[in-house]
Amino acid sequence: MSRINRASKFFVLCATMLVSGCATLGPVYTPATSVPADKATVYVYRESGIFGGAVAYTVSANGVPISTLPAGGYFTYFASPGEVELSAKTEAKTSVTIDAHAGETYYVKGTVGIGFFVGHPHLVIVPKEVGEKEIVTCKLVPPSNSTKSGQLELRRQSHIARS
Amino acid sequence: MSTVLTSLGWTVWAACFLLASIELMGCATTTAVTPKLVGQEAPACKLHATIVYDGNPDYLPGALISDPDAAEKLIFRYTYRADYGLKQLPSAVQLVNPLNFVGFPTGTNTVVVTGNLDVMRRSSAIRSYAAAASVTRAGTMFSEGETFTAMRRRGLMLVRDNISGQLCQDRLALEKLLENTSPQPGQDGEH
Repeated sequence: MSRINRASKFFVLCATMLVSGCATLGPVYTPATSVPADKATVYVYRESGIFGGAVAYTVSANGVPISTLPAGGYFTYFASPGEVELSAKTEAKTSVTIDAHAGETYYVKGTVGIGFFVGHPHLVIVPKEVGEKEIVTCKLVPPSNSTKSGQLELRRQSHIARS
Repeated sequence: MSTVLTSLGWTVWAACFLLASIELMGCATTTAVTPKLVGQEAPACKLHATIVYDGNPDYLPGALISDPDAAEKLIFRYTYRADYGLKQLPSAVQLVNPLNFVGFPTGTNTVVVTGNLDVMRRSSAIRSYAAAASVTRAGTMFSEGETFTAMRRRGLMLVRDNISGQLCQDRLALEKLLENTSPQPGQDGEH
């Protein structure tokens, strides 16, 4: 009996560990409609998969955290023209720099590779045609999953887009 | 007995060497630039010209100096582009590969930077210079090495210096072009 209890406890622990990485995601991908004229649109997405699925990492733009990126999620970032460095970190750091031009659209793909304790995040710029195909199954990362500064930035951007 | 120890010693040394090689292979970043500049390294030169470039000034070829008084009929237009490649071993292989613990590469990152410099006269290019740099590195379970940002920067610097070198090797022809198009005293416009 105690063996069954121990096994069920172990199972619950494993399930909790697996589920703790999951995030509640919003609606499936739709392209941004109201893009500020002086900004570039950057879609940051991560396809869902079993490997590294429990790992979610925070993505920063020029050092300012903007949102977490769980498996199967995406978020939109309106970048000012110029060099924009998108980065993420677990036990290893990844970063990629975009030469943002107003009115252009960029796709940044996130993945997770093997790490010693935690999976290593990878961010890479993919061609538009690849990004457009792969993002369609991803779901919006809700603002509650965004970091505080990210929420402020996204709110400021939506305000700019409205006006 | 001593023969056994000697052969065992060699085996241990060979194993250590192999492991160290694998470990170091994972950390290395390799670069390649094309075209290779032939002959002696070109001396540093400065070309004062009208430049059209909207990127980071750090990546502009050092031989080009923006001069608002230079002949506007000759324009130097510099553009660059960076392409990224991320190749990872299949997840299943990564998970079961015991060599991961000795620093076996788990994937490779590649950045290819291309730079183009066009010398324009009346919206058509009369001379063009191009260079490309490839920067590759392998990541391991312990370290990812350089980020794409650092690799891009490295590639842009290599392309910048290569184009600068090409310009300096071609300096006489360019100076002639610049002289021929600079406004002569008392002249205001092309004849």
